Parts: sequence; structure tokens; C-alpha cells
Amino acid sequence: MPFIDDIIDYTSLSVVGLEKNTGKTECLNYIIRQMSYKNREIAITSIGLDGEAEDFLVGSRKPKIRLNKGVLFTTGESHYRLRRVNSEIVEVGEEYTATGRLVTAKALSKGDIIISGPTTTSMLKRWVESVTESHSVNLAIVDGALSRSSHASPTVTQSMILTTGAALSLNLNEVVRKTLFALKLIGLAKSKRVLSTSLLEKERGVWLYSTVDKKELLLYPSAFNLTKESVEIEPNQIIFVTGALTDSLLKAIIEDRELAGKEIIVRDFTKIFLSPNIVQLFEREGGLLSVVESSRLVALCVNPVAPNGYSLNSNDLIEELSYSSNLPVYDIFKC
Amino acid sequence: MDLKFKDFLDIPCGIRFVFNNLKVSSTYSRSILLEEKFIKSKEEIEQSYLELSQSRSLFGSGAPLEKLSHRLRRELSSLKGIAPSLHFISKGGVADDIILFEIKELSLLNQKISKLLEETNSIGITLPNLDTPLSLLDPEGAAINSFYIYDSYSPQLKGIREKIRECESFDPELFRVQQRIEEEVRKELSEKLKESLPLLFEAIESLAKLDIILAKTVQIDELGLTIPQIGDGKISYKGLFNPEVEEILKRGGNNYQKVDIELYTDRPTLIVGSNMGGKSVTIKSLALSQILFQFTFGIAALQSKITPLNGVLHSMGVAEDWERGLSSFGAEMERINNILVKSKSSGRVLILLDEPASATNPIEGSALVSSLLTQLSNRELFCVVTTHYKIEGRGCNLLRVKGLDNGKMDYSLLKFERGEFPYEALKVAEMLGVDREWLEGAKKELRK
Repeated sequence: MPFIDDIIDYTSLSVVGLEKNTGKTECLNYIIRQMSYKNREIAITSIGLDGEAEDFLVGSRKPKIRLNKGVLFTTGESHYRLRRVNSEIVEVGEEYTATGRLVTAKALSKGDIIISGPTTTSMLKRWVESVTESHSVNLAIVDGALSRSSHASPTVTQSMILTTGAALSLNLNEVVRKTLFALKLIGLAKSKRVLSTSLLEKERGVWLYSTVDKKELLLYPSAFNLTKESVEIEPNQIIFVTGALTDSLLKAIIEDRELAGKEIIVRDFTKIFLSPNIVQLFEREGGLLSVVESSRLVALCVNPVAPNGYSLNSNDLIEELSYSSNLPVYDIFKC
Repeated sequence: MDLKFKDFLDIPCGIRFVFNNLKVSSTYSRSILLEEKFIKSKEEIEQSYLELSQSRSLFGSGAPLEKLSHRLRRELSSLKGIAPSLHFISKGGVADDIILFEIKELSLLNQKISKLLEETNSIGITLPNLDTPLSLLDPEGAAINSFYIYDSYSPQLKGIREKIRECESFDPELFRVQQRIEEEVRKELSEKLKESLPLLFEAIESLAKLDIILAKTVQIDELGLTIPQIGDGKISYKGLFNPEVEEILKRGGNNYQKVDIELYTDRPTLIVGSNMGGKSVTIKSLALSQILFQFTFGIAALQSKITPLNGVLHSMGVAEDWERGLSSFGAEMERINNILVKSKSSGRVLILLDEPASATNPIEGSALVSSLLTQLSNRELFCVVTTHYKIEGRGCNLLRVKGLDNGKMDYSLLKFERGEFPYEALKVAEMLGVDREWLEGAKKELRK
């Protein structure tokens, strides 16, 4: 079965959609189905709200999260009450989310559910730990909402699947271009430099760090306050960004003669919010972008159908993407 | 209005440090502790300390059941405050699966802790018997922390569920029929559970109480606290200390010098002495231990005899009241005036004033402090005042910090007679290494 054997090695997986309506929920349902056939215990939750019958933003019909018997799921109290599945509660959390406390239950029959899960990355980390340790599931799956990819951070889930498709554009080349750019960021290599623990523990600011004398110097107070501190800039320093790497921050670095060409290290790809042209410019100047934790992208799934019904040629899309990305690419509706 | 534990947390005496350090297992018990009332009754305090002593001799460090205490605390971490759900049922509400799960979880926890406590029933906590609600919510007796409307609740349910399982796809009609039957079961369960509600409330309360006592027991060993003697008109400490300050000193590689002090109801205690001689820390430690006592925590002293009081009134540290546009002096005068007024109707209280009127000129400042001490003399209350002013302190219990001894500060408090006033500000400044010319100039001024 496509990519199922690849995710079996991991205990946690995130499914990220590049856009809404890229077939993320279908992909999720496919995984649930396949894992049940393989008798693997799985748990599922979402970092946003998923499984609504109607898409809040676009208004088009959305597939529901379909559960098989034995699947563990975590959702908010109010959504638990709306479940269309027989299930047994195994845990009620103490923290409150917008949909109440989180209820973890085991499906006793087939059925469907609206899933609204943990709202912060730290809650999500605890969830992954709890279901894999206390409830001994083989795979914890996290489904994400629009523009919220923090759940896909390698510090939360070990592996990920990306979904893309005609929802991005009705022009095949455009879909490929946008997808390849996302893949480029997801696939950023781990930096070869060893950073100190104290640097990694910093919560704010953009730092200059010398791997020779381990000196940490604050360069900018934050990505939003680009007033450069007066620091001594040396050739063997790298730039460590504690939070988000944005266009304006990267632009400031590119435009600063002393900084241009330096390696920039971010925690992981979920912290990068850059547009393609600025990255291109940065690379042309000889800059290197790398991460502290790299991600393991298992597969790329495509949905050739746009929300308005228009469809791209599935085979062409798969061929283009797999040729340029060197990744296994699947049309989930054909799996 | 009765003061609660949470009302004392902002007093700058180290109480928040003690609270943050208290390892209560469940967040629910922590919220209960915050709402606990300031205990004034001697009998109640005595009873609570008796329980804490018993807990300590059973579960404390090196005690026979120390390991059991770890187990109990681990189990208690799953205690939740389900009182709102219980109230919902008492008002005739039909419990949903989430509420029924919560009640089952509580009943199972209560059963588990009861079994663990069978080895010891002498810490004054008895847990109710929750067999009735448990048998309702665990009809198959599996004793597993999970819940759904089990097949065994209704013969019809089993049949309909078999049909649902056989269906290839979701059948909304069958699901609706099932939901109707389930709702009937929930109604019946909610009705039957009503009888057990008082026992369930009792269980939450007792389990939270056990959690808090065990946390206080652990804290006694961790912070080096002790169980006090209950005094009747006496407050005295041997080796009084402040755990927060002690930790700061430890981090810097320094030792804490504990102090002995005795307070009397008929005369205020006036503490004088060097700057940096620990007067403020003593005042804070007195406030801390009195608060810890009235909420029956371990006391931060090697030995203590403490009397239950009606309150702790304090003015510690110079704080300006920006919002109301008062200067530090104005704000302090208002605060102390409030204390004076309040003390007249509060019965036996502890009043702690750290360097009152220090923000004004020494002539008027001294007059204000002297008169304040007279006002507070011969009253049935405990009062401690620190000052740098040269005050006669007639009728006061006079204490002074022993002070600099061979360039080292001795923080002990010594009784002294009127007239022997210590002058050590310049010596302390010299020890701190301030500008020599400045000091010489000051000495010349003094000689004038």
C-alpha cells in the first residue's frame, strides 16, 4: 500500500495541507483504514478544528474523519457530544480549549467525528506522549488546520505527509512551483554546526553565534524589531533565529553587507515564513539556510480536483512532482 | 469577611515561595488550598497539626510508610474537581457520558486510595464507601478507568449494537434508535446516582485533604520545617528562618543564620541594629511563620510556640501608591493608620512594621515612631517594629542585632537596655567598600 509501510517505523505523524481542500482529510481516512487492516493501534487528534461537514471558510462539502473500531481519538467536549460513533471514554483532560476539555475515547464501532484537539504545541506534545505511552498506541496522528503547521514540527511529530493539489492553483505549473518551494523548506538540511544548549534555550531574539569561541551576541531583539545591536561581526559566526524567520528579517540580513553570506539557522521548517523570491535572492548572495531539527517527509499526496470542481490531470501532476521532488507522490483518491 | 489562603500570597514575606514549593499532586487540591480559610480556632489548629504530625510519623522521610506516600501521591494526581457535575445531577440534570466517566473515575480512585490506606487508618482521614455508584457505573466489575453505556444496561441495546456492527456503512436510523435507548439508561443512572451524591462530595473533599496533608508532610522534610507547639498567649521561636532567603543564600554559597525571638502581648518588640543586619528578614519571617501556622503548614523554625491570632497586619517595605498620587511617606502613613484603626476592633493580632516613617526627617520620624509604640503598648496584641531611629522605647521589648563582629555580620538578636543605641551604618558602608573620602567626611561631621 502506498506509503503505509513507510510510516510504520514512526510513532507519530502529522498530516499537513498546503491549502484547504488538498485532500488532507481523505489522506487521513486512508491512513486510518490501512492501519486498521494492519492491526496497528492508532490515535488521532487535530491542532485545529477538523471533520466539519461544511468548510467554514469556503463553504464546500468536506469529508468527515471516519473512524474504525479500535481507533483512539481526542476531541473537545462539545464535539464529543456530537459524535456519530459508539465509543468508550478513557480520559477527560483538565485543560480547557474553545470546545471544552479534551476527551479521549476509543471507537467501538465504525463512525465519524468532528475533531478539535489541543490548541498549543506544548499540549500537543503531551498528547503524543500520553497516547503512545499510557495508551500504548503504535502511531499518534495529528491533523492540522489551515496555515497552522506547528504540529508538524519535528519536535512534536517524527514524520509528516504533505497534501497539495488544484486548490493551490488551476495551473499545473503553478501548483508544482508552489509545492516545490514548500518541499524545499520542509527538506532543509540539519546544520553541521553544533550550537550550545544556552543558545538553543533562548526564547527571543536573533543571535550571532561563533562556533569557535561559543560567544553569543544579540543581533536583533526580535524578528519584529530589526534595530541592529552594535556587535562585533566576525567571519566564523552563524545567525540563529529563535522564533520566526520572516521576509523582512531575511531582507535586513541580505541588505547588511557585514551579514550577507552567513549561515542562518532556524529551529525547524515550521518557523519559516518566507516568499520564494527572497529565498532565491538570499541564496544568490551565497547564504545558507539550515535547521536545528530536520523533518522526515514520508510522502506527498495530491488532490487534482479544485473546490470549484475543475480538475487537473492527476497523472501529469504526479509525474511532474515526483520527477522534480524525488519523493513518492500519490493521488489519494485513487489509493 | 474571612480571609483565604490566596489573600496572603502577595504579602512579600516568602509565602508564595512556600506555596510554589508545595508539591500538591492534583491541580484540584491546589485550588482547594487557595480557598482555605484563615483558621482562628485553637482547637481546629490543634486538630490539624495532630493530623500533620501523624502523617509525618507515618509518611515522612525515613518513616515506615514513606514509599506508600509516593504511591498515594502518584494516584492522587488524577483527582479532579467534579463538584459542578455532581451539582448538575442534584438539580435533576441527566448526566452525559463525560460526567458518568468522571464519577466512575472518582469512585475508582477513592477505592484504590482506601485500599492503600488500609495499612494505616490513623491520619484522621476516612474515605467514604463508594461501592454503590461504582457498581452502577462498572456493571461488569472490570475496575478499568473507562466508560460507555454498556450493553448490559439494557437488553435492547445489545441487539441494536449488533445490527450497527454488521452494517457496512453508517446507518443514521439505527444510530438514532441506539441514542434513544442510551438516553433512557443515562436518565436512570442519573436518578440512581442522586442517592450517592453526598458520599461523592465527601470523597472529593477527603481526597483533596489527603493530597494537601501529604504535600505538607513532604515539604516539612524538604525545607527543614517543624511542627509548632500551640501557645496560649505566647509567640516564641528558636532558629526562626525564611526558606526563600535561605535558598537565595544557598545558591550564592552562603549560610543562613537563624535567629531566636520571643514576642509579648503586653509590650511591643522594637528591633534596632545595623543596616543589612537582617531586621527586615526577621519581620518577614515572623509574618511568614504566623501565616503558615494559621493554615497549618510546617513552621520555618527549629522550635516554635505560636498562638492563634485573628490576623496579621503589616507594613513592610516602602511602596509608593502611584495610582493615588501618594508619595512613599503618604502611602505608608495611610497604611499604618489603617492598621491602627483596624487593630482596635480586630482582637488579638500580629502587627509587623518595618522601619515606619523612615522616608521623612529623623526628628519628626522618631517622634512618629515613639508615639506609635505608645499607642500599641498595653494592648492585647503582638507587635514588632524595626527602626534606625534613636528611640527610647519605654515599655518595649528591646532587641538589637548583634551586628558586625570582626568584619562579619552576626544576625543574632540580643536584648538591650534603653540608651544603648548601636551606630554601625558607617562600618557597614566601609565593609561594602564605599569611597573612603566620603566616609572620612562623614566621620568628621559626626565628631562636630
